[in-house]
Amino acid sequence: MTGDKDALQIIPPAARRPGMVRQVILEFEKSKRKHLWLICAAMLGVLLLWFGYQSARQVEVTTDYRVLLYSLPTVNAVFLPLLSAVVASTVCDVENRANTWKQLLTMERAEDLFCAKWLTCALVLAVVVTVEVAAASVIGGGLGFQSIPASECFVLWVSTLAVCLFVATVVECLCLFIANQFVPLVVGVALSFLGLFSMYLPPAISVFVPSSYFGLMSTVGMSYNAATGVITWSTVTWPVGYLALIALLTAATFVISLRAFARKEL
Amino acid sequence: MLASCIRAELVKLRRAPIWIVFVALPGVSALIGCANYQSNLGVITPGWANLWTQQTLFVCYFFLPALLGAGCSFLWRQEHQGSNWNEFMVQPVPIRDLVLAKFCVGSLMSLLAFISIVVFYVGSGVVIGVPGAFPAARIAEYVVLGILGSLVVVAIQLDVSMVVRNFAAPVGIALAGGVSGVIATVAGFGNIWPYSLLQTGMNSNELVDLSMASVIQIVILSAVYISGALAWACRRLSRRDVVATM
Repeated sequence: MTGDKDALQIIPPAARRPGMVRQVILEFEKSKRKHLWLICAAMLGVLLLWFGYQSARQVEVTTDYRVLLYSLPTVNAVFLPLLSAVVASTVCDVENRANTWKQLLTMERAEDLFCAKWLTCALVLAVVVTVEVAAASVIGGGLGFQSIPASECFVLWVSTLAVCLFVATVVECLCLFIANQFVPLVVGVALSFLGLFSMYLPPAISVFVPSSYFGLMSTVGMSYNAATGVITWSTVTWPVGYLALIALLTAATFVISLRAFARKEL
Repeated sequence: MLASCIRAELVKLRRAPIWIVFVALPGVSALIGCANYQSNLGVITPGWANLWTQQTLFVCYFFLPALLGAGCSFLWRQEHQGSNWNEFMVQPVPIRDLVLAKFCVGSLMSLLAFISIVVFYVGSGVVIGVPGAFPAARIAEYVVLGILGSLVVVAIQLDVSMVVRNFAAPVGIALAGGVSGVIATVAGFGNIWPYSLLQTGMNSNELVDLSMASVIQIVILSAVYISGALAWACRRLSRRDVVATM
């Protein structure tokens, strides 16, 4: 009896619930050998290659930095929804494949696990978006464009990350509820697909497509004069309303998914 | 033996939502392309050629490769789970048949996507009353070459998904492959780069000249890439030790 009592006392109650930082570190440990950073680097590399190729052609017409701020969201709409889906799926699928849900939830609260996975995705995406914005500025400067003001870089960073987080939240929710990872990944492909097409749709329709917010939150407007063939770039006010909307949608999706996940029988 | 292996692969996909997606996504693309065609009639020359461009441009560049990547990941995912890899490797059939069966089912997914593309293309063209005679021979050429190019993507993605034990990563690789195909096509390597062959074959925006010499080159290179990828998969499965860990 004494031995059993000692054994129970070896694990103090505080150790049963590790802090959020430790849980996020644990999630990163789990994603080792899952090629998460490699695939992010590869997709980002191709994204920047395409962006650089587009920009190299445009610099012959104008060196206005707003050209960069206009074209980057276009490329983002194709790549980042799928990249966000890949990140969320990789982080969540670890448990599906190893079937560790029940074991995990004896050590962690479901809410904490959900938050840790979301934070891991958010951190990876924040790094990806930071590298992307920095690399786009460097590429623009290297090609001979005017340097992008720091405030514009910040606006671009916030807008891009906000959309990525929304997609990642939706995909995380799907990954946690559907073991078949084909579905969340197809959602990522479909969002990329619709994001690209939404640029040809009026804002009244594209506002319903999450991936179109890369373009909707752009601070640059473009007008084309068909008679002279001249394209004019203009600075527009940052549509903070769209940012608030996407943040609200992300928060709502997060809260609903969190509650549903906590009540789900795994 | 091969027929049994294909049947087994199809059984594994029973009730999977995979087939719906290969029909629906080209359908959505066709509808949006159709709307785009209608709203730009003042700018473009009305006709079947422009409708083909509007409906298939983005599908063949980005989304069909990504979708095929997801399909191939799905085909290997089941083997990567639990102890299925061990069971897969001890099946009393040649490894060649196991690989070929996965390739055949992947090809079936591609075929389904192309059937969907053609049905929506013809259907929407008839509904909106596209002027001019239907270019049956040209579309047939694009579709056959497109299917051939897509089989190259399937073969390569099967290799990637076999090696990478992660469902999502190969899908990203497929999208990146599609973009690399666009870049290669623009750089003049559209008849050579494996991920470009699908786009070259479908010739959505007529970036390449599909002369007889080009067609022969596409056919030969597709055959080389497909057989090379499948041979590599068989060789790897035969020589590498089995790893069935989570």
